[in-house]
Amino acid sequence: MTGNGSKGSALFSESADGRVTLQGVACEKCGHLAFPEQHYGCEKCGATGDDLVARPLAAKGTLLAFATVNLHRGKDIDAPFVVGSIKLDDGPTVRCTLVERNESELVHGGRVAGMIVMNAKLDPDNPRAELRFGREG
Amino acid sequence: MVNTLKDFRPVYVVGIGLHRYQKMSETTFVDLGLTAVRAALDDAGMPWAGVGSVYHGNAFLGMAPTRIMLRHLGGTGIPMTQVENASATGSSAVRQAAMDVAAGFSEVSLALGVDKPAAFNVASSKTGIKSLDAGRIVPFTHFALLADAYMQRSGASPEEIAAVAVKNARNGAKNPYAHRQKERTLEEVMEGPAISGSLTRLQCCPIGEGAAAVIIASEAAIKDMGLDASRAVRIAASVQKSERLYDTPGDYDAELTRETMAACLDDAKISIHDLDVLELHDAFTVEELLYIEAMGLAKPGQGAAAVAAGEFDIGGSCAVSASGGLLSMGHPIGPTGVGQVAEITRQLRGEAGARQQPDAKLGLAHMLGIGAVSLAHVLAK
Repeated sequence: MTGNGSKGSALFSESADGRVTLQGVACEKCGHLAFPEQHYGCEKCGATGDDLVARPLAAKGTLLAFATVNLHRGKDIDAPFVVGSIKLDDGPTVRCTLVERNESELVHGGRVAGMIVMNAKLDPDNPRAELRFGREG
Repeated sequence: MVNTLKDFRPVYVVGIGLHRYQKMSETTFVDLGLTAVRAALDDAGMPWAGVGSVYHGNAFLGMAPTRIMLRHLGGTGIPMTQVENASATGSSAVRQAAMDVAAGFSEVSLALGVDKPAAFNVASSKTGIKSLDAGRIVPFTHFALLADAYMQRSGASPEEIAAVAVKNARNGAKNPYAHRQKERTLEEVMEGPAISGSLTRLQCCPIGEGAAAVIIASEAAIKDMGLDASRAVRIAASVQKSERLYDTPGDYDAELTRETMAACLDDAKISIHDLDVLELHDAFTVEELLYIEAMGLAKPGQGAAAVAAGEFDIGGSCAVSASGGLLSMGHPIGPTGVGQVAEITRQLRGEAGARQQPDAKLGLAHMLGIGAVSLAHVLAK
Protein backbone atom coordinates (compact mmCIF):
# COMPACT_ATOMS: atom_id res chain seq x y z
CA MET A 1 0.00 0.00 0.00
CA THR A 2 1.25 3.47 -0.75
CA GLY A 3 0.20 6.89 0.43
CA ASN A 4 0.29 9.26 -2.45
CA GLY A 5 -0.62 12.66 -3.78
CA SER A 6 -1.54 13.49 -7.31
CA LYS A 7 1.99 13.52 -8.66
CA GLY A 8 5.42 12.15 -7.97
CA SER A 9 6.51 9.36 -5.69
CA ALA A 10 4.75 8.35 -2.51
CA LEU A 11 5.73 9.84 0.85
CA PHE A 12 5.53 6.42 2.43
CA SER A 13 4.84 2.79 1.66
CA GLU A 14 3.97 -0.38 3.51
CA SER A 15 5.46 -3.74 2.63
CA ALA A 16 3.50 -6.99 2.54
CA ASP A 17 4.79 -7.87 5.99
CA GLY A 18 3.55 -4.55 7.42
CA ARG A 19 6.82 -2.61 7.60
CA VAL A 20 6.30 1.09 6.90
CA THR A 21 9.00 3.12 5.20
CA LEU A 22 9.25 6.80 4.41
CA GLN A 23 10.60 7.81 1.05
CA GLY A 24 13.62 10.01 1.62
CA VAL A 25 16.39 11.24 -0.62
CA ALA A 26 20.16 10.86 -0.32
CA CYS A 27 22.75 13.08 -1.94
CA GLU A 28 25.57 10.94 -3.27
CA LYS A 29 27.80 13.99 -3.61
CA CYS A 30 27.77 15.27 0.00
CA GLY A 31 25.98 12.49 1.88
CA HIS A 32 23.07 14.63 3.05
CA LEU A 33 19.98 12.60 3.87
CA ALA A 34 16.57 14.26 3.84
CA PHE A 35 12.84 13.66 3.92
CA PRO A 36 10.71 13.91 1.87
CA GLU A 37 12.08 12.84 -1.49
CA GLN A 38 12.63 15.64 -3.97
CA HIS A 39 14.82 16.00 -7.01
CA TYR A 40 15.06 19.79 -7.38
CA GLY A 41 18.45 19.83 -5.70
CA CYS A 42 20.32 19.00 -2.49
CA GLU A 43 19.64 21.54 0.28
CA LYS A 44 23.18 21.17 1.53
CA CYS A 45 25.37 21.24 -1.58
CA GLY A 46 23.04 21.98 -4.50
CA ALA A 47 23.73 18.74 -6.34
CA THR A 48 20.96 17.55 -8.62
CA GLY A 49 20.24 14.96 -11.29
CA ASP A 50 21.79 11.53 -10.76
CA ASP A 51 23.43 12.66 -7.52
CA LEU A 52 20.04 12.56 -5.79
CA VAL A 53 18.74 9.06 -5.17
CA ALA A 54 15.61 7.82 -3.47
CA ARG A 55 16.38 6.35 -0.05
CA PRO A 56 13.77 4.45 2.00
CA LEU A 57 13.88 5.38 5.69
CA ALA A 58 12.48 3.12 8.39
CA ALA A 59 9.41 4.72 9.95
CA LYS A 60 10.77 4.24 13.46
CA GLY A 61 12.20 6.74 15.83
CA THR A 62 12.11 8.69 19.06
CA LEU A 63 9.41 11.14 20.07
CA LEU A 64 11.11 14.48 20.77
CA ALA A 65 8.10 16.72 21.37
CA PHE A 66 4.33 16.67 21.07
CA ALA A 67 1.39 19.06 21.24
CA THR A 68 -2.38 18.77 21.28
CA VAL A 69 -3.89 20.86 18.50
CA ASN A 70 -7.19 22.36 19.66
CA LEU A 71 -7.80 24.71 16.74
CA HIS A 72 -7.80 23.31 13.22
CA ARG A 73 -9.60 24.81 10.24
CA GLY A 74 -9.24 21.82 7.91
CA LYS A 75 -11.94 19.19 7.48
CA ASP A 76 -9.42 16.35 7.25
CA ILE A 77 -9.36 15.63 10.99
CA ASP A 78 -11.36 16.64 14.04
CA ALA A 79 -9.55 18.66 16.72
CA PRO A 80 -8.29 18.00 19.27
CA PHE A 81 -5.58 15.76 17.89
CA VAL A 82 -1.94 15.31 18.78
CA VAL A 83 1.09 15.97 16.57
CA GLY A 84 4.68 15.07 17.28
CA SER A 85 8.24 15.73 16.28
CA ILE A 86 10.05 12.45 15.65
CA LYS A 87 13.78 11.83 15.27
CA LEU A 88 13.98 8.92 12.85
CA ASP A 89 16.51 6.20 13.59
CA ASP A 90 17.78 6.75 10.05
CA GLY A 91 18.57 10.43 10.70
CA PRO A 92 16.04 13.06 9.60
CA THR A 93 13.48 14.56 11.98
CA VAL A 94 9.85 14.56 10.80
CA ARG A 95 6.61 15.99 12.12
CA CYS A 96 3.42 14.02 11.89
CA THR A 97 -0.02 13.41 13.37
CA LEU A 98 0.09 10.85 16.17
CA VAL A 99 -2.25 7.91 16.60
CA GLU A 100 -2.71 8.68 20.29
CA ARG A 101 -5.29 11.35 21.07
CA ASN A 102 -4.34 11.79 24.70
CA GLU A 103 -0.95 13.17 25.73
CA SER A 104 -1.01 11.04 28.89
CA GLU A 105 -0.32 8.03 26.64
CA LEU A 106 2.93 9.61 25.40
CA VAL A 107 6.38 10.16 26.87
CA HIS A 108 9.25 12.30 25.66
CA GLY A 109 11.99 10.10 24.33
CA GLY A 110 9.56 7.21 23.84
CA ARG A 111 9.77 4.86 20.88
CA VAL A 112 7.28 5.48 18.07
CA ALA A 113 6.65 3.90 14.68
CA GLY A 114 4.72 4.81 11.55
CA MET A 115 1.32 3.21 11.03
CA ILE A 116 -1.06 3.40 8.11
CA VAL A 117 -4.47 4.77 9.04
CA MET A 118 -7.44 5.03 6.69
CA ASN A 119 -8.91 8.53 6.96
CA ALA A 120 -12.48 8.86 5.69
CA LYS A 121 -13.02 12.42 6.92
CA LEU A 122 -12.72 14.03 3.50
CA ASP A 123 -14.47 11.37 1.42
CA PRO A 124 -16.27 8.50 3.21
CA ASP A 125 -16.53 6.56 -0.07
CA ASN A 126 -12.84 6.77 -0.77
CA PRO A 127 -10.84 6.72 2.47
CA ARG A 128 -7.31 8.01 2.10
CA ALA A 129 -4.28 6.14 3.38
CA GLU A 130 -2.55 8.37 5.90
CA LEU A 131 0.63 7.89 7.88
CA ARG A 132 0.55 8.55 11.60
CA PHE A 133 3.11 7.72 14.22
CA GLY A 134 2.20 5.94 17.40
CA ARG A 135 3.77 4.10 20.30
CA GLU A 136 5.83 1.19 19.08
CA GLY A 137 4.70 -2.34 19.76
CA MET B 1 35.28 42.66 0.26
CA VAL B 2 31.61 42.92 1.11
CA ASN B 3 30.29 46.23 2.38
CA THR B 4 27.87 46.69 5.25
CA LEU B 5 25.86 49.75 6.24
CA LYS B 6 28.76 51.19 8.26
CA ASP B 7 30.87 51.41 5.10
CA PHE B 8 28.55 54.04 3.62
CA ARG B 9 27.49 57.51 4.77
CA PRO B 10 25.38 57.54 7.95
CA VAL B 11 21.59 57.37 7.74
CA TYR B 12 19.03 58.52 10.30
CA VAL B 13 15.38 57.98 11.14
CA VAL B 14 13.93 61.50 11.14
CA GLY B 15 10.20 60.82 11.12
CA ILE B 16 7.84 58.13 12.37
CA GLY B 17 4.09 57.66 11.99
CA LEU B 18 1.54 54.94 12.56
CA HIS B 19 -2.06 54.03 12.05
CA ARG B 20 -3.18 51.97 15.01
CA TYR B 21 -2.99 48.21 14.51
CA GLN B 22 -6.55 46.90 14.84
CA LYS B 23 -9.08 44.25 13.87
CA MET B 24 -9.93 44.13 10.18
CA SER B 25 -12.41 46.85 9.34
CA GLU B 26 -13.89 48.77 6.41
CA THR B 27 -10.99 51.24 6.57
CA THR B 28 -9.24 51.18 3.19
CA PHE B 29 -5.53 50.50 2.87
CA VAL B 30 -5.29 53.97 1.35
CA ASP B 31 -6.61 55.54 4.55
CA LEU B 32 -4.33 53.38 6.69
CA GLY B 33 -1.24 54.25 4.68
CA LEU B 34 -1.90 57.97 4.26
CA THR B 35 -2.52 58.32 7.99
CA ALA B 36 0.89 56.81 8.78
CA VAL B 37 2.79 58.73 6.09
CA ARG B 38 1.25 62.10 6.96
CA ALA B 39 2.03 61.47 10.64
CA ALA B 40 5.65 60.65 9.75
CA LEU B 41 6.02 63.78 7.62
CA ASP B 42 4.55 65.89 10.44
CA ASP B 43 6.88 64.22 12.93
CA ALA B 44 9.89 64.94 10.72
CA GLY B 45 8.71 68.46 9.96
CA MET B 46 9.21 68.04 6.22
CA PRO B 47 7.06 68.08 3.09
CA TRP B 48 6.17 65.05 0.96
CA ALA B 49 8.12 66.67 -1.87
CA GLY B 50 11.30 66.04 0.12
CA VAL B 51 10.94 62.24 -0.07
CA GLY B 52 13.11 60.73 -2.80
CA SER B 53 12.07 57.07 -2.82
CA VAL B 54 9.58 54.66 -1.27
CA TYR B 55 9.88 51.04 -0.19
CA HIS B 56 6.45 49.74 0.72
CA GLY B 57 6.12 46.46 2.59
CA ASN B 58 2.89 44.53 2.17
CA ALA B 59 1.96 40.90 1.69
CA PHE B 60 -1.80 40.97 1.17
CA LEU B 61 -2.81 44.05 -0.80
CA GLY B 62 -2.30 42.59 -4.27
CA MET B 63 -0.31 43.93 -7.19
CA ALA B 64 0.77 47.56 -7.34
CA PRO B 65 -0.82 49.21 -4.28
CA THR B 66 1.80 51.88 -3.62
CA ARG B 67 1.36 54.67 -6.14
CA ILE B 68 -2.43 54.50 -6.15
CA MET B 69 -2.24 55.15 -2.39
CA LEU B 70 0.52 57.75 -2.32
CA ARG B 71 -0.70 59.76 -5.34
CA HIS B 72 -3.05 61.44 -2.85
CA LEU B 73 -0.01 63.17 -1.35
CA GLY B 74 0.72 64.67 -4.76
CA GLY B 75 2.50 62.85 -7.56
CA THR B 76 6.23 63.61 -7.50
CA GLY B 77 7.46 60.88 -9.83
CA ILE B 78 9.79 59.23 -7.31
CA PRO B 79 10.69 55.52 -7.48
CA MET B 80 8.26 53.32 -5.54
CA THR B 81 8.87 49.62 -4.89
CA GLN B 82 6.77 46.95 -3.18
CA VAL B 83 8.63 44.66 -0.78
CA GLU B 84 7.42 41.27 0.48
CA ASN B 85 9.31 39.10 2.93
CA ALA B 86 6.57 37.37 4.97
CA SER B 87 6.50 38.57 8.60
CA ALA B 88 9.78 40.42 8.01
CA THR B 89 8.29 42.42 5.13
CA GLY B 90 8.45 45.78 6.93
CA SER B 91 11.98 45.10 8.17
CA SER B 92 13.11 44.53 4.60
CA ALA B 93 11.43 47.79 3.55
CA VAL B 94 13.45 49.59 6.25
CA ARG B 95 16.65 47.92 5.07
CA GLN B 96 16.01 48.84 1.43
CA ALA B 97 15.29 52.46 2.35
CA ALA B 98 18.38 52.66 4.56
CA MET B 99 20.60 51.21 1.81
CA ASP B 100 19.05 53.57 -0.73
CA VAL B 101 20.01 56.64 1.30
CA ALA B 102 23.34 55.23 2.52
CA ALA B 103 24.49 54.55 -1.03
CA GLY B 104 23.35 57.98 -2.19
CA PHE B 105 20.56 56.91 -4.54
CA SER B 106 18.32 59.26 -2.59
CA GLU B 107 18.70 61.78 0.22
CA VAL B 108 15.43 60.78 1.89
CA SER B 109 13.59 57.47 1.61
CA LEU B 110 10.27 56.35 3.06
CA ALA B 111 9.98 52.85 4.53
CA LEU B 112 6.30 52.09 4.71
CA GLY B 113 4.26 49.09 5.81
CA VAL B 114 0.54 48.89 5.08
CA ASP B 115 -1.48 45.71 5.18
CA LYS B 116 -4.90 44.15 5.51
CA PRO B 117 -4.12 40.47 6.05
CA ALA B 118 -6.73 38.20 4.48
CA ALA B 119 -6.44 34.53 3.58
CA PHE B 120 -2.81 33.40 3.68
CA ASN B 121 -1.50 32.16 0.35
CA VAL B 122 2.00 30.85 0.90
CA ALA B 123 4.29 29.54 -1.80
CA SER B 124 5.41 26.56 0.27
CA SER B 125 2.13 24.86 -0.62
CA LYS B 126 2.94 25.13 -4.33
CA THR B 127 6.40 23.58 -4.54
CA GLY B 128 5.12 20.17 -5.58
CA ILE B 129 6.93 18.65 -2.58
CA LYS B 130 4.46 16.75 -0.45
CA SER B 131 4.34 17.06 3.30
CA LEU B 132 3.69 14.51 6.01
CA ASP B 133 1.90 16.97 8.28
CA ALA B 134 -0.95 17.51 5.78
CA GLY B 135 -1.39 21.17 6.71
CA ARG B 136 -1.94 20.33 10.37
CA ILE B 137 1.20 22.01 11.66
CA VAL B 138 0.52 25.72 11.14
CA PRO B 139 2.72 28.36 12.83
CA PHE B 140 1.05 28.14 16.25
CA THR B 141 1.59 24.40 16.31
CA HIS B 142 5.17 24.73 15.05
CA PHE B 143 5.80 26.92 18.09
CA ALA B 144 3.73 24.69 20.39
CA LEU B 145 6.14 21.86 19.52
CA LEU B 146 9.11 24.16 20.15
CA ALA B 147 7.52 25.23 23.46
CA ASP B 148 7.19 21.57 24.49
CA ALA B 149 10.84 20.93 23.59
CA TYR B 150 11.87 24.11 25.46
CA MET B 151 10.03 22.99 28.60
CA GLN B 152 11.72 19.59 28.38
CA ARG B 153 15.24 20.96 28.19
CA SER B 154 14.88 24.01 30.46
CA GLY B 155 12.43 22.77 33.06
CA ALA B 156 10.28 25.87 32.50
CA SER B 157 6.57 25.53 33.21
CA PRO B 158 3.69 26.54 30.90
CA GLU B 159 2.99 29.42 33.30
CA GLU B 160 6.56 30.70 33.03
CA ILE B 161 6.24 30.80 29.24
CA ALA B 162 2.82 32.49 29.50
CA ALA B 163 4.38 35.20 31.71
CA VAL B 164 5.85 36.71 28.54
CA ALA B 165 2.29 37.59 27.45
CA VAL B 166 1.59 39.23 30.83
CA LYS B 167 4.68 41.46 30.48
CA ASN B 168 3.93 42.39 26.88
CA ALA B 169 0.24 43.07 27.61
CA ARG B 170 1.36 45.44 30.39
CA ASN B 171 3.45 47.34 27.81
CA GLY B 172 0.79 47.23 25.10
CA ALA B 173 -1.74 48.76 27.50
CA LYS B 174 0.42 51.90 27.43
CA ASN B 175 0.69 52.03 23.63
CA PRO B 176 -2.11 53.91 21.80
CA TYR B 177 -1.11 52.22 18.51
CA ALA B 178 -1.35 48.67 19.91
CA HIS B 179 -3.94 46.17 18.70
CA ARG B 180 -4.37 44.84 22.26
CA GLN B 181 -4.38 47.63 24.84
CA LYS B 182 -5.43 45.70 27.92
CA GLU B 183 -3.35 44.43 30.83
CA ARG B 184 -3.76 40.71 31.50
CA THR B 185 -3.13 38.59 34.57
CA LEU B 186 -1.39 35.23 34.33
CA GLU B 187 -4.72 33.61 35.15
CA GLU B 188 -6.39 35.38 32.21
CA VAL B 189 -3.62 34.28 29.86
CA MET B 190 -3.70 30.68 31.07
CA GLU B 191 -7.48 30.21 31.11
CA GLY B 192 -7.56 29.97 27.35
CA PRO B 193 -9.06 29.17 24.99
CA ALA B 194 -6.33 26.63 24.35
CA ILE B 195 -4.97 26.87 20.81
CA SER B 196 -2.15 24.35 20.51
CA GLY B 197 0.01 22.64 23.10
CA SER B 198 0.59 25.03 26.00
CA LEU B 199 -0.21 28.08 23.85
CA THR B 200 -3.46 29.84 24.68
CA ARG B 201 -5.12 32.58 22.62
CA LEU B 202 -3.37 35.42 24.45
CA GLN B 203 -0.02 33.73 23.81
CA CYS B 204 -0.59 34.09 20.06
CA CYS B 205 -0.28 37.47 18.35
CA PRO B 206 -3.34 39.16 16.87
CA ILE B 207 -3.19 39.63 13.09
CA GLY B 208 -5.16 42.64 11.96
CA GLU B 209 -4.73 45.74 9.81
CA GLY B 210 -2.53 48.78 10.30
CA ALA B 211 0.21 50.98 8.90
CA ALA B 212 3.62 52.22 9.95
CA ALA B 213 5.97 54.71 8.29
CA VAL B 214 9.60 55.61 8.92
CA ILE B 215 11.42 58.40 7.07
CA ILE B 216 15.15 57.82 6.63
CA ALA B 217 17.45 60.70 5.71
CA SER B 218 21.10 61.58 5.13
CA GLU B 219 22.97 64.20 7.17
CA ALA B 220 22.86 66.46 4.11
CA ALA B 221 19.08 66.19 3.93
CA ILE B 222 18.71 66.94 7.64
CA LYS B 223 20.81 70.06 7.17
CA ASP B 224 19.30 71.17 3.86
CA MET B 225 15.70 70.80 5.04
CA GLY B 226 16.42 72.21 8.48
CA LEU B 227 15.17 69.06 10.28
CA ASP B 228 15.62 68.69 14.04
CA ALA B 229 18.92 66.78 14.26
CA SER B 230 18.47 66.30 18.02
CA ARG B 231 15.53 63.96 17.32
CA ALA B 232 17.30 61.99 14.58
CA VAL B 233 18.21 58.39 15.43
CA ARG B 234 20.98 56.66 13.51
CA ILE B 235 20.54 53.25 11.93
CA ALA B 236 23.92 51.86 12.94
CA ALA B 237 23.63 48.39 11.42
CA SER B 238 21.36 46.39 9.16
CA VAL B 239 21.71 42.66 8.57
CA GLN B 240 19.52 40.22 6.69
CA LYS B 241 20.01 36.47 6.42
CA SER B 242 18.14 33.38 5.33
CA GLU B 243 17.90 29.88 6.71
CA ARG B 244 20.49 27.26 5.91
CA LEU B 245 20.84 23.68 7.13
CA TYR B 246 21.42 23.47 10.88
CA ASP B 247 22.38 20.60 13.13
CA THR B 248 19.20 21.10 15.17
CA PRO B 249 16.24 20.58 12.81
CA GLY B 250 13.09 22.36 13.93
CA ASP B 251 15.00 25.05 15.82
CA TYR B 252 15.88 26.97 12.68
CA ASP B 253 14.16 30.14 13.94
CA ALA B 254 16.54 30.37 16.88
CA GLU B 255 19.62 29.36 14.88
CA LEU B 256 18.83 31.90 12.18
CA THR B 257 18.28 34.51 14.88
CA ARG B 258 21.60 33.63 16.50
CA GLU B 259 23.51 34.13 13.24
CA THR B 260 21.70 37.31 12.23
CA MET B 261 22.07 38.92 15.64
CA ALA B 262 25.75 38.04 15.92
CA ALA B 263 26.48 39.64 12.55
CA CYS B 264 24.41 42.74 13.35
CA LEU B 265 25.96 43.30 16.79
CA ASP B 266 29.42 42.77 15.32
CA ASP B 267 28.74 45.29 12.59
CA ALA B 268 27.52 47.85 15.14
CA LYS B 269 30.50 46.98 17.37
CA ILE B 270 28.32 46.53 20.43
CA SER B 271 27.47 43.72 22.84
CA ILE B 272 23.93 42.39 23.30
CA HIS B 273 24.25 43.59 26.91
CA ASP B 274 24.65 47.19 25.69
CA LEU B 275 21.07 47.26 24.43
CA ASP B 276 18.51 49.35 26.32
CA VAL B 277 15.50 48.35 24.21
CA LEU B 278 14.80 45.32 22.04
CA GLU B 279 11.83 44.62 19.83
CA LEU B 280 11.74 41.00 18.71
CA HIS B 281 9.55 38.55 16.85
CA ASP B 282 7.31 37.45 19.73
CA ALA B 283 4.45 36.17 17.59
CA PHE B 284 4.10 33.41 20.21
CA THR B 285 5.23 33.66 23.83
CA VAL B 286 7.85 30.94 23.65
CA GLU B 287 9.61 32.81 20.86
CA GLU B 288 10.71 35.59 23.18
CA LEU B 289 12.44 33.03 25.41
CA LEU B 290 13.99 31.14 22.49
CA TYR B 291 15.39 34.31 20.95
CA ILE B 292 16.69 36.10 24.03
CA GLU B 293 18.61 32.90 24.74
CA ALA B 294 19.80 32.59 21.13
CA MET B 295 20.91 36.23 21.20
CA GLY B 296 22.81 35.74 24.45
CA LEU B 297 20.63 38.11 26.48
CA ALA B 298 19.86 35.17 28.78
CA LYS B 299 21.81 31.97 29.32
CA PRO B 300 20.45 28.77 27.73
CA GLY B 301 17.42 27.61 29.68
CA GLN B 302 17.40 30.76 31.83
CA GLY B 303 15.13 32.97 29.69
CA ALA B 304 11.96 32.26 31.67
CA ALA B 305 13.73 32.96 34.96
CA ALA B 306 15.08 36.26 33.59
CA VAL B 307 11.57 37.29 32.51
CA ALA B 308 10.24 36.36 35.97
CA ALA B 309 13.01 38.45 37.58
CA GLY B 310 11.86 41.50 35.61
CA GLU B 311 15.09 41.85 33.63
CA PHE B 312 13.15 42.59 30.46
CA ASP B 313 10.49 44.86 31.95
CA ILE B 314 10.47 48.57 31.18
CA GLY B 315 12.96 49.77 33.77
CA GLY B 316 14.87 46.47 33.67
CA SER B 317 18.32 45.91 32.18
CA CYS B 318 16.84 45.80 28.66
CA ALA B 319 13.19 46.52 27.89
CA VAL B 320 12.04 43.72 25.58
CA SER B 321 8.93 44.45 23.51
CA ALA B 322 8.25 47.79 25.21
CA SER B 323 5.72 48.44 22.44
CA GLY B 324 3.77 45.37 23.55
CA GLY B 325 5.55 43.32 20.90
CA LEU B 326 3.77 41.30 18.28
CA LEU B 327 1.75 39.75 21.13
CA SER B 328 0.08 43.03 22.10
CA MET B 329 1.02 45.74 19.62
CA GLY B 330 -0.01 43.21 17.00
CA HIS B 331 1.25 41.73 13.78
CA PRO B 332 -0.38 43.20 10.67
CA ILE B 333 2.49 41.61 8.63
CA GLY B 334 3.58 44.43 6.29
CA PRO B 335 3.78 47.19 8.94
CA THR B 336 5.24 45.10 11.79
CA GLY B 337 8.96 45.55 11.12
CA VAL B 338 8.51 49.25 10.33
CA GLY B 339 6.54 49.70 13.54
CA GLN B 340 9.38 48.14 15.54
CA VAL B 341 11.80 50.77 14.19
CA ALA B 342 9.26 53.51 14.95
CA GLU B 343 8.99 52.26 18.54
CA ILE B 344 12.75 52.13 19.05
CA THR B 345 13.12 55.60 17.57
CA ARG B 346 10.48 56.88 20.00
CA GLN B 347 12.30 55.20 22.89
CA LEU B 348 15.74 56.56 21.94
CA ARG B 349 14.30 60.05 21.58
CA GLY B 350 12.84 59.76 25.09
CA GLU B 351 9.33 60.32 23.70
CA ALA B 352 7.71 56.99 24.69
CA GLY B 353 5.73 58.45 27.60
CA ALA B 354 4.36 55.89 30.05
CA ARG B 355 6.34 53.05 28.45
CA GLN B 356 9.66 54.91 28.30
CA GLN B 357 12.76 52.85 29.08
CA PRO B 358 14.89 55.22 31.18
CA ASP B 359 17.95 56.66 29.50
CA ALA B 360 17.58 54.51 26.36
CA LYS B 361 20.46 55.02 23.93
CA LEU B 362 20.77 51.76 22.00
CA GLY B 363 18.01 49.65 20.52
CA LEU B 364 17.62 46.67 18.23
CA ALA B 365 14.75 45.45 16.06
CA HIS B 366 14.64 41.73 15.20
CA MET B 367 12.22 39.99 12.86
CA LEU B 368 11.76 36.59 11.30
CA GLY B 369 9.68 35.62 8.31
CA ILE B 370 8.55 32.18 7.25
CA GLY B 371 10.71 30.71 4.60
CA ALA B 372 12.78 31.47 6.68
CA VAL B 373 14.37 34.91 6.68
CA SER B 374 15.67 37.09 9.48
CA LEU B 375 16.56 40.76 9.87
CA ALA B 376 18.13 42.89 12.57
CA HIS B 377 18.62 46.64 12.79
CA VAL B 378 20.61 48.48 15.45
CA LEU B 379 19.52 52.03 16.21
CA ALA B 380 21.63 54.45 18.21
CA LYS B 381 21.11 57.90 19.68
